[in-house]
Amino acid sequence: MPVVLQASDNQQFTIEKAVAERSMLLKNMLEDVGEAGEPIPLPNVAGSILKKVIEYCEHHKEDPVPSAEEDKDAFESSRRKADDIDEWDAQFIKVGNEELFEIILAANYLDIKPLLDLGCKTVANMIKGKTPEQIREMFNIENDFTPEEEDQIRRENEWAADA
Amino acid sequence: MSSGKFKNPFHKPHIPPPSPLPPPTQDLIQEPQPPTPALGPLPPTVLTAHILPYLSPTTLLPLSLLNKTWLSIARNDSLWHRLCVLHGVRVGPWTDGLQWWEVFRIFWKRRGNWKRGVYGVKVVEVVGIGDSVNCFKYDADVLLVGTRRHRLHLHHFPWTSVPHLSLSGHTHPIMCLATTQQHLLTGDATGTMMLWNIFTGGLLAVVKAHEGAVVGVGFVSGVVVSAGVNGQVKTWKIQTRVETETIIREHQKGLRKISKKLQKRHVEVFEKEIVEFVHANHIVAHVGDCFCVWVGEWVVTGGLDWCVKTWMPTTLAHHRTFRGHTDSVTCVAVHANWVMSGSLDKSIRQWDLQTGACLHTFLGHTKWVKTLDVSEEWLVSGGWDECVLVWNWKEGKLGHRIDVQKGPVVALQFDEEKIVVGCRGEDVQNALIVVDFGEDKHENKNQATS
Repeated sequence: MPVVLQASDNQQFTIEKAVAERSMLLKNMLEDVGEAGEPIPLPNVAGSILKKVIEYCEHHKEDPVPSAEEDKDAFESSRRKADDIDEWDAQFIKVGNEELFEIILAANYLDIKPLLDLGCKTVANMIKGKTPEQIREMFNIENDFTPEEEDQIRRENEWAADA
Repeated sequence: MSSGKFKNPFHKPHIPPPSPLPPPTQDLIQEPQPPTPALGPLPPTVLTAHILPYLSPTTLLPLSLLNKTWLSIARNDSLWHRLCVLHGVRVGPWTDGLQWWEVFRIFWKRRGNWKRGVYGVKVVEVVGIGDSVNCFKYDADVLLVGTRRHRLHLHHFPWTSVPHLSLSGHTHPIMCLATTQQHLLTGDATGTMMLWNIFTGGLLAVVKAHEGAVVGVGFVSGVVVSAGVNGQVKTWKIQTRVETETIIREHQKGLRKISKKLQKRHVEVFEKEIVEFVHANHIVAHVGDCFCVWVGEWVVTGGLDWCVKTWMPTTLAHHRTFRGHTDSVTCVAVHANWVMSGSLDKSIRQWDLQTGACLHTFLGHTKWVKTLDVSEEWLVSGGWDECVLVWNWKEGKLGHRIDVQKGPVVALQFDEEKIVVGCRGEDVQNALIVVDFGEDKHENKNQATS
C-alpha cells in the first residue's frame, strides 16, 4: 500500500509504506489513520527538500529501526563522534548550506533520527577548527557585539587555550 | 597513615541534575534576545540538542563570540553540564551558584595548572602556636586535625586557627584519624583509640587498642580496623547497648516532718546508650614494627620488615606480600587495583594488588618518604627532603617538584584544587601549607621545577 505525501508547494510524492516509516512522525500517523489513502500534507517541508529526504529514506529503508531509547540520552552515550559518516551519506549530504539546514529542519520535523544526526554531524564538522570570523563568514552570521563586549567575552574564554 | 580519599564516603562524586537556570550574572545575557538568527533557519534548540554535543569544549567556546544569540547558545547550561559529567568534574561548595560553563572553566583551568605546575602557596594556621599538626583529613565540608599536644580540632571552610569544634579526650599525641559520615575515629601515641560523633563532637567510645602507638585507623564495611606500631592489626565492631539506670529521689526532709503520708519516693528510670568497641580479630602483620595502614576494599600495611602486605578487610586473612623495598615501608595508599608504597629507601613503588607485581619504582626523593596520596591522575608524595613531588604515575614520570622547604613533610592530602601539606618546620608546624592549583592565582604564582 503506497503512501502519498504532499509538500508545502503541493507537489505530491508516492512512496512505499516502508520508506515512509523511516519517519517516526509518519509511522505514528499511519498507525493512527490506518489505510486511508489520502495524501498526507506536510506544510513545513518544500517539495525539493522532501524529494531529498525521500531519497535518503529509500536508500536506508532496509536499515534496522533504531530503538527509541537508544541514543536518546546524550549522557549515556559517552562522547559523540562526528566523523563516522558512511560514504553514501557523505555524498548525499554534500549540499549547499541553505539546503543542509532545510534537510535538518525537515528531519527534525519528520523525526528521522539518523538523517537528523547526519545533518547535524555535517554542520558540527564544518564548525570544527574554524575561527569565529571564518564561522561567521561561512554561515553568514552577523556580529552584533560592540568591540568592548567582544573583548570581554574573549577574556572570559581565555581558559580554553590552556591544557 | 593514609587512607584513599576517593574511597571516603564524605566525598561526593555525584553531580546533581541541572538546576533551573540561575539568574545570569552576565550583563550581556540579561539583555532581551535579539532576533538575530543563529544558523540560517535552524532554531537554537536544534543547535544545542543535536549539533553542539558533537563539539569539544575548545570548539564550543569560540562560538560564543559569533553574536549575542550564539553567546547564549554556546553557554547553554545543559551542554556544559553534560561536559562536566563526561569529564568527571566533582561538585562541591565551589560550584554553588555557578553556571555549568563556569564550573567547567574552573575545572579546566585547574587541570591545566596541575599539568603545568602553576600554583599559589599559602600557610593556614590551624592550631595554636607551640603545638604541631600530626595528622589531618579534609573533605568538602570539614577539616579534622590531630596534634602532638593531643588537640583534636574540627574546622569548617574557610579554615582558620579557630576551630568549629574542639574535641577533648586524648591525653597523648594524636597519631591518626579517619572519618565516616557520622563518626570520627582517632588513635594516639599510647595505643588509645576513640570514637566520636562528628556532628556534636561527643566522645562515644574509648578503648586501649594497642601496646605503643596507633599508627593507623580506618572503617570498612561496618568494622573498625586499627594498626599498632608493635605490628598488630586488629578489627573491632562498634556495639551499642541500652543500659537502664534507676535513680531514687527522696522528697525534701522538711516535708517529712509535716506528715509521713506526704513523704513519697520518686523513682526515675533512665535509658542510656552505651557504645563500645568490641574486639573481633587480630593478627601480627609484620615482624617488628608496623608503620602504616590503608583501610578500604583491602587492608594494606607496611613495616620494618621492608614488606607491604595486603589483608582481607574483615577477617584479616593474609592475601599477599609485596617485596622489593630495601628499607622500612613508611606509607601506603591504594587507588583502584594499585598499591603505592613509600619507604625509608627513598623510593615509591607501585604494585599490582592482584598479582603482587612491582610495576614501577619512582625515584626522586633525596631522603626518606613519609607520606603519599594518590588519585586517578596524580601521585603526590612528601618526605624528609622537605619536598612535595607530583608524579604522573600512569606514565611513571615525575611531574613537578614543589620545594616547600618548611621542614620535613609529615602528612599530605590532595584533591582537584589543592595539595594540603603538614610540615615540621618550626614556624609552620601549627599550620597547613596549601598548594593551590585553583584558577586566578595571579599573585604569588609559582612555576614548579620539573
